[in-house]
Amino acid sequence: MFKYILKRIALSIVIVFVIATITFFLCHAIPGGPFDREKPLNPTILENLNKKYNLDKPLGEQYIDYMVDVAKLDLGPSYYYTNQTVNDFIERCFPVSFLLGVCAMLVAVVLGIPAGIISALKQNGWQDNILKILTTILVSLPNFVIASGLMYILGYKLELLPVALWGTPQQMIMPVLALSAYPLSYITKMMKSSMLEVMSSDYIRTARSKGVSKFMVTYKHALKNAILPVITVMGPMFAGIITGSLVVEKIFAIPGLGQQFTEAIFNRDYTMIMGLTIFYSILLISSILIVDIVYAIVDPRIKLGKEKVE
Amino acid sequence: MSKLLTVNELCTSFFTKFGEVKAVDHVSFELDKGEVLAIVGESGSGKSVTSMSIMGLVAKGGKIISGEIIFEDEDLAKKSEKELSKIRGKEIAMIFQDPMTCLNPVFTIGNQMEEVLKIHQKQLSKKERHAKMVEMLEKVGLANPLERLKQYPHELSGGMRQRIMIAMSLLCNPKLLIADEPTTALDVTIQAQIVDLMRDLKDEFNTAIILITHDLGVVAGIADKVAVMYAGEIVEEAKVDDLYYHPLHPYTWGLLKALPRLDMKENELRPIPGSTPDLLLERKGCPFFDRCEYAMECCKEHRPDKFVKENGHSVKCWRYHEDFKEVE
Amino acid sequence: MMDEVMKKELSFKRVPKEDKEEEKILRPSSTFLKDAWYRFKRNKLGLLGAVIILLMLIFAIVGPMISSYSYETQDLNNIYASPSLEHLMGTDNLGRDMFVRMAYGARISLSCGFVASLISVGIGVIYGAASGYAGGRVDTIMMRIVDIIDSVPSMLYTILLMVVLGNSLTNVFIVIGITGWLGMARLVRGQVLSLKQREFVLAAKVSNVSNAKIILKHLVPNAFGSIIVSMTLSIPSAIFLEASLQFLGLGISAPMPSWGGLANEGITAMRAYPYMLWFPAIFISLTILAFNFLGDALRDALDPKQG
Repeated sequence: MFKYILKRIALSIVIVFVIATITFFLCHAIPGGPFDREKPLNPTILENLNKKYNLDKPLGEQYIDYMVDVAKLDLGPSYYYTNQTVNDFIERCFPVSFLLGVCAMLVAVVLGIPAGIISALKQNGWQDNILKILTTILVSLPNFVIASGLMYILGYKLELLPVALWGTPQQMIMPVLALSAYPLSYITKMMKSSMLEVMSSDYIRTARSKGVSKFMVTYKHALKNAILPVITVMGPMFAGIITGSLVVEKIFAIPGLGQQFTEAIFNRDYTMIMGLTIFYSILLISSILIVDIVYAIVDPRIKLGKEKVE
Repeated sequence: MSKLLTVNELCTSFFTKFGEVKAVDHVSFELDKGEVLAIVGESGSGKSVTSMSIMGLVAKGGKIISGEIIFEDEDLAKKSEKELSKIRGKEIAMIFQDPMTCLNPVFTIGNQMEEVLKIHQKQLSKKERHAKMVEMLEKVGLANPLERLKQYPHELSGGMRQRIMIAMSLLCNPKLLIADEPTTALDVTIQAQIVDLMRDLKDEFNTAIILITHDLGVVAGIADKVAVMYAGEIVEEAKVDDLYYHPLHPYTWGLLKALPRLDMKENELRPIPGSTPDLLLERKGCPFFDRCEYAMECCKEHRPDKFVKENGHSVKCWRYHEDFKEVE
Repeated sequence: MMDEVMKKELSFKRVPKEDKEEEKILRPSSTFLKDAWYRFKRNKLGLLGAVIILLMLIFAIVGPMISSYSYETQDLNNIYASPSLEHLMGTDNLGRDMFVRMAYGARISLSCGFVASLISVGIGVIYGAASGYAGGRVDTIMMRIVDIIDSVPSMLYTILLMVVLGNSLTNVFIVIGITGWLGMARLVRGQVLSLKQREFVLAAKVSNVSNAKIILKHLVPNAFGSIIVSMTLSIPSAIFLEASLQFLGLGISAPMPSWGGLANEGITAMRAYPYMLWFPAIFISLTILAFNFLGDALRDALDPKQG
């Protein structure tokens, strides 16, 4: 078990390294330097800037320097906001995005799992039919449509909720809903099919033949099995929420990291784009790692399967 | 003395989008205490549905349409879900075909066995439950019972799991054990061990057994009576020796011919041609008509009556009508 | 009882084997495509999806032809005009006709969906087939690469590539195309691997027919269903990705409209001029919904096992 976790961590580090490398070279392949402005800068200033950012060194050296910094979790200075570093921005903006993402994830899990169970237990009943329609529509609505629809109705027409910024619980409701819609319906669908599959399995029949009540069969025997596949999609799900937050943060003018990323794209702030891409990758790869470890703990088959291999 | 179990004209149907499937069609049989009845038939002949009807666990879409299932003077077909769950696992226990999938993969053996005792023998203390489980695991021939209790199903072999299923089913000393193809998924050597085990336990606990199988070889070793099912009906029922030595129904003849024996010569093993009929189609005559070598004109139009011989040997085939004579 | 039997006038005459309908086929047989079409036809939502997509295509093709406006002509005397007979969907902040802009948007968003998924399918089929065909170590390494790429959400490297390549229509097609092939590669690889184990491939090997030839010949019909389904379902995600890029200021450049760009403009103006949001929002959502319906229906029809 312990060995398995170590192995997974090592692999994750390798992946981050590969991503950082690709990102670095992609960003340095962009034609023109980072200080190409509409009005060309004074050559001496440009030279000084290049020196400041080590851009006068050969690419290989720059790469090694950058990688060493990344290993130290230092993502370097911003090209655009010349006296701030990428880390400064992450420290300032990430907590906002993190809270947003975690809330959306919680909404999706807390509502999606019971909804999926209800859908499965009442298969083809009215509850199931309503949920089927809802999930089908929610899966197809892009997050910006949901965000703007909520904003128009709850914000402008009914004037129930503030339409922008972040901080108060009221400000959080709409962005969280907009972000959680897709994962919520996805988890509902997945939980339903997983539950249906488990409920028709042999060990459920065994449990019933032992005299276990329907209720206990559902909530003890079936639930623990049915929830396993849902755990495995949590990692990619979180990734979806994070990338979704880029758009949602922009629509609600939330001062999060996604907003920062959009701005960096607009300003062509390459170190910021590079740094944030790497940061997001680290975040997502660690979330997938955590999900894998949790899965190995919850499912007895995985744990021992791996031990036998070793 | 009244019978332990009397199944009377039981009909169980499944309602699919293509129509009604009569999976069990007017099935009747009786079982005494400690007696072993084998129900034999091809897959799809309705033997499993018969057993699930007795348990009250017919799968979704299926329903008992008519008939009685009298167990200890009470009709199980009329009982509520709650009443039935008090009988399941305590009075009537069941073991299934595939031990690999019949135990819940995310709970330990101990947890799953203890559940039965927690439900049906609430008076037992934790210690007593534990002692009982260990005792039962020893009885089914498992070494290191203490360790087994802590293990998960995937850590055990198929034979071990089937032993655990048997131990679990006998924990409450049930009066009837339904074994649905208990040996089919196992290796041949393990099969014999499991059959031996079931026979020993039957003698020890005086449990009646309904053994469902498609393997006539397994039947010979353990059963008192045999019922042959075909397309939802019992086409022949007899004491085990009568059935082996004087089979009456052409289908049973076919089954016995399809059974490999050591003294057989090459090419002697004869499968029955064709396959079981589509239960969706309404049929008038004998269900075996299409595949029967001896089919007669009357078989096409009229469903055979049940003919019973003095020794209780019953058969549903027109060949045993008093007016029958061979006409080519 | 006996009387009753007697009344039946039983005939004990043997029925010869030939007279029995022993081998009769109980249900009419059907070809795969006929079967699939039958299943598809019964799926109302799938048909609805197909109709919506068709309408969108007609709108995209015919819309600009029947409109007397161009998507870039500004009319500053007539900004934010509400929908009317003159401007069916109103005008935007620069007085441009929204109907014709929506129709051009449909052209761009739909072609982005189609072209990008064709590119993904192309790359995915080649990569997957190569990986599955090579097998062994090569296969392991190639699939590990897929796993690694898959562990980063496609949105991230789509953004990165767009930043590197710069904004243009072609770049959007290419970038979305080359970020969406992973699933297809896995699918095709799986098909190839299972094909390789089938008897007819073994038989072909024995008779010295090239393995690759056999696989290609059998891969197409075997994987056809799942490839079509997977492609249908990847079109809406391409449309969605393109729209999202517009929000981040990436993608095609103004004044050329895409639905995502129009929605983005609509959000800014929605408080006073909500129609500017409703049209693009509804069109995008309907299209994505329609493709999802169609894809699900096709999966049920072509791939009944998976459904």
